[in-house]
Amino acid sequence: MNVPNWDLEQKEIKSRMILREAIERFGSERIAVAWSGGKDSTTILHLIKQEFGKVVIPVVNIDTSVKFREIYKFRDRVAKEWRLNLIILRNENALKTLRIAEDEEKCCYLLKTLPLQNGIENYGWQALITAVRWDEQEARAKEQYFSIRENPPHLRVHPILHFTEVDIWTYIRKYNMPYCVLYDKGYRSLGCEPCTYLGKATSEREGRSKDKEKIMKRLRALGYF
Amino acid sequence: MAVKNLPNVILIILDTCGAKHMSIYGYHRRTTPYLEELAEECVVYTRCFSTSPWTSPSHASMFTGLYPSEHGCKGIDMDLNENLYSLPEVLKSLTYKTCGISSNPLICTSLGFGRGFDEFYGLYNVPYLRLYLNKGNKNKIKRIKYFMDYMVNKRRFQEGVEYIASALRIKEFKSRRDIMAKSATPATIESLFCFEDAMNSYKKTNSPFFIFINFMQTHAKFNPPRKFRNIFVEDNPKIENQHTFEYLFEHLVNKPHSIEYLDYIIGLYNQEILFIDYITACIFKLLKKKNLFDKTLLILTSDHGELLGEHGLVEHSFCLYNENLYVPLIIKYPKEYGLKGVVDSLVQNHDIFATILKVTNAPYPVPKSSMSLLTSDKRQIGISQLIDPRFKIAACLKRKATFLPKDFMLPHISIITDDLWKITKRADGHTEIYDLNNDLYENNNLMSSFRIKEKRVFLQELVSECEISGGYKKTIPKSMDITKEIFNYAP
Repeated sequence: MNVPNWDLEQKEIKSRMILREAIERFGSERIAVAWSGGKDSTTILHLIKQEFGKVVIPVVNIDTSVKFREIYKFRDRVAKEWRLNLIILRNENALKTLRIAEDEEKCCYLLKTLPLQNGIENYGWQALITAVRWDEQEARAKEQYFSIRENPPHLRVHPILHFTEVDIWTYIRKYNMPYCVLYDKGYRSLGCEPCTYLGKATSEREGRSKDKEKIMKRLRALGYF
Repeated sequence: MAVKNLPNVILIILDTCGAKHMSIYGYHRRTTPYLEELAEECVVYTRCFSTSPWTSPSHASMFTGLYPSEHGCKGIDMDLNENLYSLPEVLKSLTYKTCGISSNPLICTSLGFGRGFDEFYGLYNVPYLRLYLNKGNKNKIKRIKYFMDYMVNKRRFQEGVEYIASALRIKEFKSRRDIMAKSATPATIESLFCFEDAMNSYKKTNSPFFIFINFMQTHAKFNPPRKFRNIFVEDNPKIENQHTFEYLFEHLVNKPHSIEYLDYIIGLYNQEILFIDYITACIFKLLKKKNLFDKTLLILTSDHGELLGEHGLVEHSFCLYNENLYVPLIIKYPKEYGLKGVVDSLVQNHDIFATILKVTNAPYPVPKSSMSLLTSDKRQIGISQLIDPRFKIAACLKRKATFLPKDFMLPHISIITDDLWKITKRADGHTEIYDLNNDLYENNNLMSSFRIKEKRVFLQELVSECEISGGYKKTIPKSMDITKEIFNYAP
């Protein structure tokens, strides 16, 4: 899906329309917004604030317990300043036994997917607003503003699909919106600390180790070192 | 996003070209006559120090605005972290057309440096025509037509023969374009062609463009083209035969180079600078010819310099002396800025990141480590780091199994203050202090001088603070042992 050639103001209007439609349809008790503390989800909170005067729906934060200190600090500060109805979801049982980041897929499932699924069921939310963008990666290029999910059944709402990364930063500058200090250290996206730490090999990088072998071979052949 | 009147950005890196050897920075041989003239339209920064003494970390700093301990590109990890905003990506998101041209095999797409470039030309040792053959239309016949046109129009018949020979795997032709072992000149010339092509095609589309070029001309092996020989030194076939890309290892592993040898290669190095000075002038001329000069931000700098016998060292891998860190920075701002002249205050080469973001009005966050050259805030300290030299030590060990690593091969950190005092601390605690106002090339270590007691305490506290705050202490290897992994990766 190509990002439409709108200016930021048009994009904001579109997002606010989607948010109003979703929140009015489900009522403030049956819909929640997912908030990681990152730039995209914070933008959604700000858009809700712009549209309704305050964040009128529950804000869900999935706490894997291994996020950066700076994100927790930022989360708590914004939650207080914006008076958020913050619901923190954690998988305490898994945290007792799980070896963090050993098997990344398993780790993500137990600490992120599972608590969210349980949260949706326990709180009876019928819809969840998330900060997916078309330009993020190929896999997200076909997402739609409203899409139905099965496990558990609920509706996903994606109000900022049409924002590009540069739109997000332009928006942040325009409204002087607060953002986590880690972005000032060059980070582009903020995940859990063990998998985001700069310089540490992540699964993606390990996948590239064969590539690296090839490069090294070439560099050697060139006599680079 | 609304299309704004964005300036074109051209970033030229003269790989391994230290300011010490450029006459525009006061060198006794006239190595940069063209730049001296062109500088009248530019801002010349006379105190620019690199963040790192070797290619990968220094380029990563310029691409991200971060210090090596922050961006993590530092030794065996020599790729540009995907979770960082890099310059071409930022500019591309602002509607720029982006083109990267690199003669340095470390600055390549496989190591992440090609991210964000619409086109990336890696001119290492491939016959260049292959690039053109793969370019453009998917239709094979049209591609061959493009190839033929290129050969005829640019009179590149010799390369046509080379290309066919390399396709037939005839070895002799394969090594002819080897930058390291032979000469960087063909790649330099080719860079100029790629630059001209990219500029012409972007001019037609009317979009702003960003072109990055890394020239390897001033990197070893020093082998200036014929017209730039016999200027500072007379050709000496005897020494010429001795001089190879391996000259660092010969110096460290076998026996130190003789004064005669060093004098000769200094001459060659200077002649290489003279040639690259001429190439730079060609780029200025091309821009003027195409009427793009006024609305272009052109940045000319280097990733690091070169030691040629000073402090008993050659090449640039193992130390943070100023022969290595003191680099040129010459910027031609778009005409509307009206900026010209000389700036004497302390700057670093990765400050270009913040500067480019400022000029292009990019909304992205700017790391605190990079300071825009257009603000009134002055840099108070400059930091340079050599984090993980184990890679190079392993390379020495491969050449001689009995080689014993020396103390000076440990990680280093240097801090330069705005009043031009410099402290360098090695991982084993050995510290050197220099007053760069009187001793730019660090011959008089003031560490034990009684005269500067207060200054010494101040600098020592400063370096200890910077070791921790920038993450340097956490990033340097805990042990200098050469593990199997490092050994295998080293050539």
